[in-house]
Amino acid sequence: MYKSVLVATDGSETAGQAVRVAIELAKLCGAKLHVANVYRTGEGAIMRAPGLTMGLPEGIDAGSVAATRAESVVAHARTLGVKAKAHVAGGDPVEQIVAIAAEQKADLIIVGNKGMRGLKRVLGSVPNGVAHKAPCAVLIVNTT
Amino acid sequence: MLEAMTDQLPQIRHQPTGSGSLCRTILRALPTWFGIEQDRPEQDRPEQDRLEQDRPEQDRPAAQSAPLQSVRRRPGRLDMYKSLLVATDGSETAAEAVRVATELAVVLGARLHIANVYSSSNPAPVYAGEMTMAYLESLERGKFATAETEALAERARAMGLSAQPHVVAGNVAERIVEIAEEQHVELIVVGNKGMRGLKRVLGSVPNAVAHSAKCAVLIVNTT
Repeated sequence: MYKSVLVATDGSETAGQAVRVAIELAKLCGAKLHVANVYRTGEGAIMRAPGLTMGLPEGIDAGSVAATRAESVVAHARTLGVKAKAHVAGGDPVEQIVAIAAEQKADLIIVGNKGMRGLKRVLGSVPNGVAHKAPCAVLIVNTT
Repeated sequence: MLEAMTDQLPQIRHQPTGSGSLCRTILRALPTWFGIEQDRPEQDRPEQDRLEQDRPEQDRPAAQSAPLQSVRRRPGRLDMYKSLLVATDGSETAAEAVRVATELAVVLGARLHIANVYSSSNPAPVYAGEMTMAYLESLERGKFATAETEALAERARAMGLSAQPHVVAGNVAERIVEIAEEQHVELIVVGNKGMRGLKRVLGSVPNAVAHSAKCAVLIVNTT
């Protein structure tokens, strides 16, 4: 089945669900799991990802926070018997995710569906963008 | 003695068959049968409780509404998708999506629904006697779709899967999402047909399904 699975997370709880699914699926397929923690950079980045630096001193480097999160997910995956690798990237989430997928020759990208507004479900811009630009299969997990 | 034992029979929830799950169930139940109290290990605590404890206050969702919640969970494990739906329009690319879905269903031990939605823009005749060419055509399409889909289901069954074909007419994306809801499907599999030129563009069906589905969606790279 799939041999190289990439799961994208921004450290939020909903992304955590996607990660759980990814670890399970990677285990079932015997695939290698790549965990990408992509953080937004630039103006207003913290506004859009408040969870990332919550409770941490101001001015802390978003990159190292993201790296720590990715590493802890990887450690968790390894305890469950899944080969895993962490990736951290700053910038536009969609582009970074697609770039990492291409680099690592992933055959499946897993993302959450965050972006639900009101009664009608609307795909958040990240899963939507990834679904359109991915070079491989995309699994959009129902996390919200 | 037998009565005493059956009185203490724990509620054995239905476990999906898998190697050892029946044995594990019996083994786990044995201590109760023989009146031995045991501390249930970490992973036997219902996953719900464990998650609630570990999640920081502010991240807990207000309402538990995700479809995954309705799946019977094995304690300590996230139950993967147990019911898949693959949509096909009979094309080559769709055949690839069906192939992937079938393989995935085998890996997950899931039930597979195969939906063939053929668009029939021709309304049914008003009078019983009025059989227009267009209506007959759509009947033919329906029959063909039914035969094709049944064949795909047979192939899946030959691989040991429990497969159910669905053939309906109407708006493709809408029907797919409808069938998925009716059948309590947890994962919809679609192809990505609609690629134009160098830039990949999601065809309107996978795009619409991805946006309106209430469950997970897998978009397979078929083009």
